[in-house]
Amino acid sequence: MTGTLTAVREPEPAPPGPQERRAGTAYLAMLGFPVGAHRWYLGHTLAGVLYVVTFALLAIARFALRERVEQDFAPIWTVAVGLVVAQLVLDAIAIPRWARKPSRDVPLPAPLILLLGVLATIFLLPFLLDVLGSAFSGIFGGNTRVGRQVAMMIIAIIGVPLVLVGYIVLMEHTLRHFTDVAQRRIRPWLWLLPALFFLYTFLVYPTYGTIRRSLYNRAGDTFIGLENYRWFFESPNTLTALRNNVLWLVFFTVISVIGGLLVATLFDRVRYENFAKTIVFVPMAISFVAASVVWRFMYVWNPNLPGSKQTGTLNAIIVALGGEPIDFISTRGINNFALIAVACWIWVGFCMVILSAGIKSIDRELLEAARVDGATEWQVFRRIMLPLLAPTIAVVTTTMLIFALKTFDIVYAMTNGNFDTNVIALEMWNQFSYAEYGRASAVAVVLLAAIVPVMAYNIRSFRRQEEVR
Amino acid sequence: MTTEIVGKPRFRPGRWALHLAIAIILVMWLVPTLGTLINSFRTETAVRFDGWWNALTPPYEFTLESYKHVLTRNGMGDAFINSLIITIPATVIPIAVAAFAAYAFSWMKFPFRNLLFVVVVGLLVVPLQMTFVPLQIFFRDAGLAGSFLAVWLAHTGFGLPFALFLLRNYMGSLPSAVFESAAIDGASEMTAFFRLALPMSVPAIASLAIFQFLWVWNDLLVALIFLGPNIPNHPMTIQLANLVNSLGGEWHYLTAAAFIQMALPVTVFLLLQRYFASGLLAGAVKG
Repeated sequence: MTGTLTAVREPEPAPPGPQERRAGTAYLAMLGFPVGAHRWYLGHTLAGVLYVVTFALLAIARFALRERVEQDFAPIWTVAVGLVVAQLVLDAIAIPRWARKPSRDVPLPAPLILLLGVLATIFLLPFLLDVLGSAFSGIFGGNTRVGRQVAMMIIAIIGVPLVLVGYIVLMEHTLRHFTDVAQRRIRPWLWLLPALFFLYTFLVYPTYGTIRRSLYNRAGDTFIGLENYRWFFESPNTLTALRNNVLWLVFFTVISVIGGLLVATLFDRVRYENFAKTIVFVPMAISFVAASVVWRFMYVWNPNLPGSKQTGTLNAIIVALGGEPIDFISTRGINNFALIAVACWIWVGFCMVILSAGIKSIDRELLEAARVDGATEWQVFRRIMLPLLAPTIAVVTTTMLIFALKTFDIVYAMTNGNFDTNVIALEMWNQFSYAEYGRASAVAVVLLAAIVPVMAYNIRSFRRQEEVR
Repeated sequence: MTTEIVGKPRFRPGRWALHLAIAIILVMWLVPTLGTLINSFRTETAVRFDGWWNALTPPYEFTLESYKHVLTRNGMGDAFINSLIITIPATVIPIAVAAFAAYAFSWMKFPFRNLLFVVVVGLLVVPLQMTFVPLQIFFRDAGLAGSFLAVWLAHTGFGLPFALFLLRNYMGSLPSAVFESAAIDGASEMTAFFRLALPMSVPAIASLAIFQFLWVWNDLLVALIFLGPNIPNHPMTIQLANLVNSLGGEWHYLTAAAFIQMALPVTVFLLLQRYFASGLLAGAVKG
């Protein structure tokens, strides 16, 4: 692949320059100092002067603007200084002799560009924020707060991709000092670094932190062993939450998968399939909170007094059919299923789309052959389609299981866990908002433990799929 | 055409039952939204004492009062801008970060490549609840608690496994001959990425962008955790959830608030549904 082939393009004619410089000289030259004899002498002299001047400016600015810069941009400062140090260290130390390309031609000083970029960012940001901020606050009716925030957003969406591209360009630039073999070894890690940083900082490390925190007390200063878990498995409120999650796991998963399968098979047989699919699919774009509001109006209940009318759609239907109106939200034994129904209304569309793609991939002639042989529609479905769809059904089911375990928004917005509708994720939020961080962590760990089997299954099927590739 | 064979009806009574069943399903999926939409254009007394279906018969009485009220007095207008400020960077940043790493995962060779990607697949389903306590403490110590920056960073971390998974699967399935011949012609990895891999992955990036956009726009939990105490920064989902509890007797305003919250995602969804569906299909871990 690329590895062996890059060797083909590499052998460049050795530049007929002067004798090889020593590492220190080469490095100084690369930074832009006028050492050694080479053809970019003047350019490097200028660059060297710029380098010193900018460093001085940085020191002055850091002193002069300290208060403001530190307040608003403390994290950026840290990152900027870190980047400069990393680049310098990388250049000075990390190119061992075996990996260094014996090239006499020193390219443009990478650290200098980086430094200038960082400096420009730091110096420009406050001013950019001010200018853009006041421009946008004009648009938003003189609201300075909103104006500044919109300015920050625009800087973020333009700045972050720019910084990433700049990072890659600079790293590639630095890599040119390395031999081909070293380049191929180092490059992937440099390209992965930003993503790995985010994954580690925002997922991996916090996961470890939460597991650890769940063994400590509320304040986080005393180790209390499994006390938080004892609380979880002994208090009636959390046990209700656990029971409700089991209800969600079973009913939500079964109803949405079977519902999705039913809808997908039915829609597959008509000409207006796409139109029908869109209608069932649209709730996927609606937030759970908005869906909860929509369904509150389905579930409205008025006491059945003479003269009162039912304004909720479902109760109006029930009364029209001669039944007693039901208080869906607060009747225990019904309300959990009312909430599950809302989630199904949203997720059946998801199941339908995935399963429908599975159905489309089945060979039509197979089904037709069975029909010609006298199989009924049910037999065609049960004996041919269902076995062929089994892997797709497994995918959909695992997704639904995970959602059932994590369900939060609908319960939060419809009942806030009242009337025995609490779920684990909501209990975690409750403990979090009471600043009971130990207990909140324990609840999260229970949730993770419940998800681990699904995760293991996912990883196993991923690996199997990779082997096929 | 194969669809013609199946589309041809085999027996008539079954066809009618089929159409009827589909009609019932479509009504079930349309009525909740439609009823609330109609209610959002009605007056308070009408909503309170009369079902939405009565608005369909004359005399027609529709009003924009609810929309005016929630936008100006219930803070939905400010919340709309906050939602935009949260969502746009939280969509752009993870995709930018993931693109480079996805390229490395698909077209570079390095030790532990498969193991690392298996970790990413595992992280896909880690409940976000596992991260809240340490991250909240970290943001508090860094002076970022309640700020948009905190939410952007958090969403970047949370959206990254899926972004990596989707983009890597897509980039990895591009024809290897393209990259090999580029290498023969002397293209560097950077050229191969910017000139080949990135432009060829536009469909995957589009579906990823729609995904992340819908997910962040509709997110309640992450916003509650990291913006909870900072009321001026609340996005529409929090605002809407709060209105459910606080409006009390005026709860007919909720209808309008809900529709303002869903207007943008539903529009995006209807326009770009194709990309969304293809993203779903590529994103599911296949069995």
